[in-house]
Amino acid sequence: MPNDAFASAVDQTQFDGLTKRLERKTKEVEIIQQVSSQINTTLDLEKIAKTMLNLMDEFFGFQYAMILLLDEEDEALSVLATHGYEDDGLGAKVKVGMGVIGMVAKRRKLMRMANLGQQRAYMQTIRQQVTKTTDTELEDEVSLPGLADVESQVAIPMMLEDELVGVFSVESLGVNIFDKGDELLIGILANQAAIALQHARLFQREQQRLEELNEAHRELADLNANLEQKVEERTAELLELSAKLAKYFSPQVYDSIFSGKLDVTIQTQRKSLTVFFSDLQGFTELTERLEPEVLTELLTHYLTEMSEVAIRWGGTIDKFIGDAILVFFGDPVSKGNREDAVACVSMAVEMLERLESLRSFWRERGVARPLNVRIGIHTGVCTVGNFGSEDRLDYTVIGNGVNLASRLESNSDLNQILISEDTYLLVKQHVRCEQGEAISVKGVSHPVQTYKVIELVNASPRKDTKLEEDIPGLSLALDPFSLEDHDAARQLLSAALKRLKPKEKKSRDKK
Amino acid sequence: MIPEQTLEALANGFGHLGSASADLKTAHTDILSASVDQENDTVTCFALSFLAGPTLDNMKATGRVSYFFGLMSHEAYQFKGQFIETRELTESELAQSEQFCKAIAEILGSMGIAPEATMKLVGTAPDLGITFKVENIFNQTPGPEAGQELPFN
Amino acid sequence: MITEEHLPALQGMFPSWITTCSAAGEPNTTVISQVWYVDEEHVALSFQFFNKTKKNLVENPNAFATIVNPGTMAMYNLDLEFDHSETDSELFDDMDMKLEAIASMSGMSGIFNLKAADVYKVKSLKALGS
Repeated sequence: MPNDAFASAVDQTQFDGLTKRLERKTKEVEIIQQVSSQINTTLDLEKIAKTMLNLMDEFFGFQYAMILLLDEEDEALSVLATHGYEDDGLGAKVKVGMGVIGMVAKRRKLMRMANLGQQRAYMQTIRQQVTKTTDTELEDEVSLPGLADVESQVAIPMMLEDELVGVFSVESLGVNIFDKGDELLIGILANQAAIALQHARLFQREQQRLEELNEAHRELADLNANLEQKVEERTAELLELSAKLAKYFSPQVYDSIFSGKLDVTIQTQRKSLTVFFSDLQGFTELTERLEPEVLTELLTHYLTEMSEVAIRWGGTIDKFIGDAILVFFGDPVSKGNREDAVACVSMAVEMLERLESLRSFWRERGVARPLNVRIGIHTGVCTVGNFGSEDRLDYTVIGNGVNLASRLESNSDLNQILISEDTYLLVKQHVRCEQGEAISVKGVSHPVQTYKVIELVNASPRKDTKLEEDIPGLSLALDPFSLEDHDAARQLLSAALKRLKPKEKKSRDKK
Repeated sequence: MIPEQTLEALANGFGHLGSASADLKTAHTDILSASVDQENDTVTCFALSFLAGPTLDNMKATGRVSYFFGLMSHEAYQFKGQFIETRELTESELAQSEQFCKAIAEILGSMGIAPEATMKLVGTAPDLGITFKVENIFNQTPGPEAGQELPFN
Repeated sequence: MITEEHLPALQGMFPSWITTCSAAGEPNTTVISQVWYVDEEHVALSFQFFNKTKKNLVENPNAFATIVNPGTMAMYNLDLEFDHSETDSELFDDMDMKLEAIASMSGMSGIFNLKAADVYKVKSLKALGS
C-alpha cells in the first residue's frame, strides 16, 4: 500500500518530525487568521489590545502580557492594556530607552531576556560597588510596570511600515523558553496589531477633532446670539469710561483725541501761542485758617468758575497747580494769532469780573479775607504737544514763552492783568492798556516791556462794573457790586448832582 | 593565611577549576565545595573524577591552576596557584559537599528549575580531592574592584 | 556544530564559565553572563572591560567554555578559537541593546559600554559527561 511504502522509505523519526512541523505551521496560519479577523472588526483601541492579549494567552500560554502605545511627543510608551496582572497598570509610562520595553522601542528590534532576576542582581551588586567605591553619580533606579519577580521577558516592537506604533511585552515568572519559532509568529501578530491599533488611533483622533469642531460651532452660534447685546454692553462701558477720562482733559484736547485729530503719541510742535498764567494771592494764608472741607469747596468753586470762563473763550486749560491756572490759546485749535491773543485777554478780563462776584459770595460764607488774583499773558513761540513717556502722556506747553507769562504774572499787581509787548502789539486795537515797567526775564536777553490792561475797547459798560473816575474837582469810585445800600447811594449821588451848576446852554446861532 | 572573607564562598559557592595544557589549550571542571588548609595555604577542591580528566591532565603537565568560585549573590573570587596532588575526600569533606549540593538544589528549585535538571548539576557526589597551593587571590565580584588582587601572606 | 538543541543554552538565561590562559600558560577561569549564538560554527562573547580574560585571548586565541541549558541543566563544553572582533554589526547591536536594557533598569545607563563583539570559531562541542 502506498502509505506503508512511504513510511518505510522515510525514517520514522524524521517523518514524525516533519508531521509535527507541518502541524505547527498549519496552526500558526490559523492563529494569524484568527487574530487578524478579530482585531480588525473594531476601531476601539482598548478592545483591540484586550482581544490581542487574550488570544496570545489562548494560543501560546502567555499568562502575563501587556501592550503599550508610543506617545511620540513624550518619547514614552504608555500602557494601553494588560492581561494577567493584578494591578492593571493602565497609563503607566515607560521612557524610550528604559529597560527591556524601552530598549525595544528605541532599537525597534525584538528582544528576549531571560534570567532577569540574576541579571538585575548582578547589576545591583555592581551598583552597590560603584556607589561605595567611586564618586560616580548614578541615575535613580526605575520601577517599570510588570511582574516584580519576572524571570524572562520577550518584548516585540509593533511596527507599521517604518513607524513604531507600540510594544508588545510578554513576561514569565519561570525560566521559560520562548523559542525562535514563537518569535517569528509573535512578530507577525504584533505587526498586525500595529495596523489595527493605528487605524483605531486615527479614528479616535478624527472623532476627537469632530467633537472639537462641533464644540466650536456651538460656541460660535452662542457668540452670534449674544454679540449684539455684548456690543451694546461694551459700548455703554466705554462711554462711561470716557466720560470719566474727560474730566482730566481740557475739552479741546479731549475732543481732538476722540475725533482722531490729535494722535496720542509723543508729538510736539513749535507754535505761536498766547499763554495765560494766574495765581491767587492770599490763598496760602487761608489754608492755615480754614477747615479742609471749606477750603476744598472754595478752591473747587473758584477753579470751576474760572474753567467755565476759559472754555467759553476757547482756551486750552493746561493745568491747575493748586490755585494757579495755566491756559493757552492757539492749540489744538487756533482762530489766528491775533484773535487768540484778543480772546485770551478778554477771558482774563472776564475772570477778574467773575472773581469780584465770588468775593462777595465767599464773604457771606465767612471768608472775610478777600481773594485777589495776579494775571500774566504773553504771546510767543512755544513747544506744545504730548510730552512724557510712552505710557503716560501730558498734553502741555513748554518754552521761554511760558516762563515769560509766569514772570509777568508774578510782576503784576493784585487783580491786574500784565501783558508782554508781543501780546500788546496784537491786541492794542481791542484792549486799552497802560505802559508798565520793563522787566528782566531769565532766558530773554533784553528786558521785556510790559503793559497793564485797563479795559476792553468794545466793552459795554456792565452794570455791575466799577466806575472809577478822577477829574479835577471830582473823584468818583463806585462799585455797584459791593454796594450794600443802593438807596443810600442814590441819595448821595442825587445830593451830589444838586450841587452841580445847571447845564450851560450853549448860544445858538440864529440863522 | 587564606583571607577570612573568602571562606564562606569557598565552602558554599559553586566552583570551576581550570588549567592549561602545554600547547595553551584550556579546560575546567565543576567543583562541589572545597576545604582549606590554613597552615599550608592549600585548598582542596571536591571534583568528579569522571568529568575532571582533561583538566587534571593539564595540571599534571603544567602545574598551573585557576580556581573560580562564587556565591549566588555574585560575591566571587579566583585563586591561582600550583597543583600539588589529588587525594580521597574525608568524611567531613563529603558531608560538607552533601550540604552544599542540597543548598544549591534548593536555590535552583526556587528559580523554577526542575529537580531532574538540578540533579545534573549537583546530583552526583564528588569523589576526588584536587589540592593546590594558593599563590594569588583576586576579587571577582562584579564591580569596579573586580580583578584586584587581595593581599595575603 | 551548533544545533537547535543548543540554542537555549546560548541565551544568557544561565551563566556560562570560561577558562583562558596567557602566552606563558597561566590559566584564568571566570563566569560570564552569556555566550552568544552567531551561526552553526561560531559563537560570540561581549567585550566590555579589558579584563584578564580578554588580555589572555589577545595573547592566546584558545578558550574553553561551558554553556548550560536553563531548563534541562544539560551542559555543553565548547573548544573555542578567537576569530575576529566586530563593532558595527547586528550582533554588536543586539549585545549592546541587551546590556543597555538591563543597565537602564538599575539606573546604570552609560556605565557599561560595549567595546566589541568578539567572534569565536567552535572547534568542538561536547555534551558534558560524553
